[in-house]
Amino acid sequence: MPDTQYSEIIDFALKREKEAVQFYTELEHIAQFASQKELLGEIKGMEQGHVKILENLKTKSPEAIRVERVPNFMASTYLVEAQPAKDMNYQDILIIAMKREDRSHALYEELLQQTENPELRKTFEMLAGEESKHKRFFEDLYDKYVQPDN
Amino acid sequence: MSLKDILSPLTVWRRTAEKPYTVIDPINDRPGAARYRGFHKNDMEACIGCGTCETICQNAAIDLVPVEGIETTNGDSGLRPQIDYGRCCWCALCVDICTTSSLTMSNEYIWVDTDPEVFRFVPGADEKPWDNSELGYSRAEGYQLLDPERVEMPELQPDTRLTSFIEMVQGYSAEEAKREADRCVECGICMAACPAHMDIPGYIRTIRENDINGGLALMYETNPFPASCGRVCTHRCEEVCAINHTGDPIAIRWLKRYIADMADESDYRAITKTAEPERSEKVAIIGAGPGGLSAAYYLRLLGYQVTVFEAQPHGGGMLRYGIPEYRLPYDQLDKDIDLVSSLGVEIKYNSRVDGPKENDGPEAPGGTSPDEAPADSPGASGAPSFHQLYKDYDAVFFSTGLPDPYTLGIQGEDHPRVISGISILEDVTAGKTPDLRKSVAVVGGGNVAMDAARTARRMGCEVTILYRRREVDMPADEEEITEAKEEGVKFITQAIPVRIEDKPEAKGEQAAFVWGEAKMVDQGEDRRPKPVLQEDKIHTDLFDTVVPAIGQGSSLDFIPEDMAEKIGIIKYKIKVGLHGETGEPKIFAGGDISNRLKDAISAIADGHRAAKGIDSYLRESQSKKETS
Repeated sequence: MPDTQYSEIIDFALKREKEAVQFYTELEHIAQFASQKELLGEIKGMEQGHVKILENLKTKSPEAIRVERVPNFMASTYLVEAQPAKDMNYQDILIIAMKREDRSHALYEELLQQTENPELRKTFEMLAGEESKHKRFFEDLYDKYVQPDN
Repeated sequence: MSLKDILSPLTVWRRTAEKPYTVIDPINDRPGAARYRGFHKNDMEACIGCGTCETICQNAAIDLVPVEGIETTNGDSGLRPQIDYGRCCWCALCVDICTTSSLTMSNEYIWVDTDPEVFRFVPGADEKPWDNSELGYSRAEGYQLLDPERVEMPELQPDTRLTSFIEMVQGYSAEEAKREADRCVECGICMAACPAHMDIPGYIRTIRENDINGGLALMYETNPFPASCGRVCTHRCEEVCAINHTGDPIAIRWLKRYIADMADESDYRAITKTAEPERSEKVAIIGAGPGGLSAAYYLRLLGYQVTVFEAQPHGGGMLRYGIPEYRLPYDQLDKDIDLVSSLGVEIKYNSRVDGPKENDGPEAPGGTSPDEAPADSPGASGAPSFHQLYKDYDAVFFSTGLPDPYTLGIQGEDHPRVISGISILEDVTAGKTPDLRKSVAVVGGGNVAMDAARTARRMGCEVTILYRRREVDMPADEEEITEAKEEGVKFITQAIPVRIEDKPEAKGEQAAFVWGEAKMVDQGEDRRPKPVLQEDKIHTDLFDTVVPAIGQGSSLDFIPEDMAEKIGIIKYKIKVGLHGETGEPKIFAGGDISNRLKDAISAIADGHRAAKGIDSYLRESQSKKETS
């Protein structure tokens, strides 16, 4: 795979993560209460961490990347998208986060299906895996704190 | 000297020709009988260090000692019996009484050593040749010094229960309570497991000794909600009860209830402590649930001026608004609350503390008494803001619980036939009749789900509980699940909610609940398995009402942003120290908003600890003022 292609993919993923940081920053401004801002700030911090990971990947060769996949338990598949609002609660914020990660994961899976190039495939697989891990993290929080009785 | 004296020593030589009188190799030649009471063995894994062996030993030959490699855990003291063979008479009472059957005896009886100290040893920890001996004494099957069976609690029969909200558990008689109390070995393992560390063996002893007033006073040392906890406590103490290892655990909760029931409310004040001399400092408490009122009680005892602000028209929090009357009658809860009020704690009902307000000033906080306000008008105007409380009081404690029900989050949940479990329970408490109609689906497997389902059954509904995981994974108390089944609640497990539809033929009067079968995916030890939807196994059932009861969240909107950062909020929970202290020295918190156990007794313990923390803080502040 030409280096430019790899670099372009990582740049694309970076852009998405930066957009996510921006998204949560805007949500923090919309949020009305300290408890919302605290959680949004934490999620934003995680997205900033993802940006750093991708920036580090840019300096590595595509061969060095590691693919990690987690099974999709579809815990958020049937949840209805929550809308950013000043009175959103813990549940709403977690649904927003899960759905965002879900969409990113679906996008990389789609791109993965559209290419035959093994190195490109590996890069998309890695990115899809990362997004599914993030989604899983929020799903676990949702399971533990939002629906402990279910 | 006679001739005999000269010859006698020579006659001894005659013995050399005789057979020896002693056994040369007794271990092999004269082994102990198969059930001989020889040297002790102890299964270190099974032993919980309850010390019952030490208590029963008539020769004081047993001491409980720490042992390297054995940690103190919930249900295990971390100590193990050390036996002194200078005192032991091998009577085996220790083996007969052992609550876990860990202590046994080998049939070995010879131990030769020149060091007398070695004969005081810890069986099982100090390696001995007889450790793996199959023979020796152990308690025979079916032979018990302790009574393994709990005295049965009289309860209303399921068909009778369904006719009303009358309390279903009827309480022990004096004879039954004494018989149950007699089963306790007073090991105290339960005390460590109780979040409030109540003196359980102590108050059980008062039942045996006919000292009910003493028992009540003892309970109030750590818990000002004995009548309520005697009915609905999560009884973590019973889970670790030493008797539970070979029989039924002591009915600790029911014995607590017995003491609270036997003491008349009019005698409570005489039995419990009175407040210390008045102090000038004022403490505001937000929330009249078990956490808030416990803090109020112990602070008032210390002489502080305590005012409690409660959003609802009555106190008790989730004990009142989340638990139906058939489990906790309101008069019993009121008995606990009245004692707190009688000490001089002022409770302002219908006073919802809000976030920042314009013109926050030092004027006196508002609020009304329960009689002055309409029964269902929480949050009436005039209640102070958090800022105002901070300014007007010397310390603030808040314990506002988890009042906001989470939704299923699925499509169609805004259907008019969807009503949350908590709102059903609140309505019934407020004397309203929730509009449930005939067929009801309750979604969830916790206590709120069980209470909502059983409430619906008492209102004549046909009720089905749908739960995502297996029955064994349900967080509800086992007895609640059993009782719900007895009362005719149908259970569908491994059922994942998918969406709620409005069938045209139902015209909005029924909700079509779409759910899918789940397969369980193991998540390893100590983690609940994950339910995963099988998209090819989808079902649709029509219900008159769908009741989500999957969990509740905190409502921290009243905390102003400028204070929140100092206080410390993490994932909608308040971060607190051991005594409920937050990042802001003057502010303390406790109960469900900060602890992970989320039950009444933990909130009570939090309230008690916070009272100590507030007392220390105020005394330190006072002494700083005096020295400056």
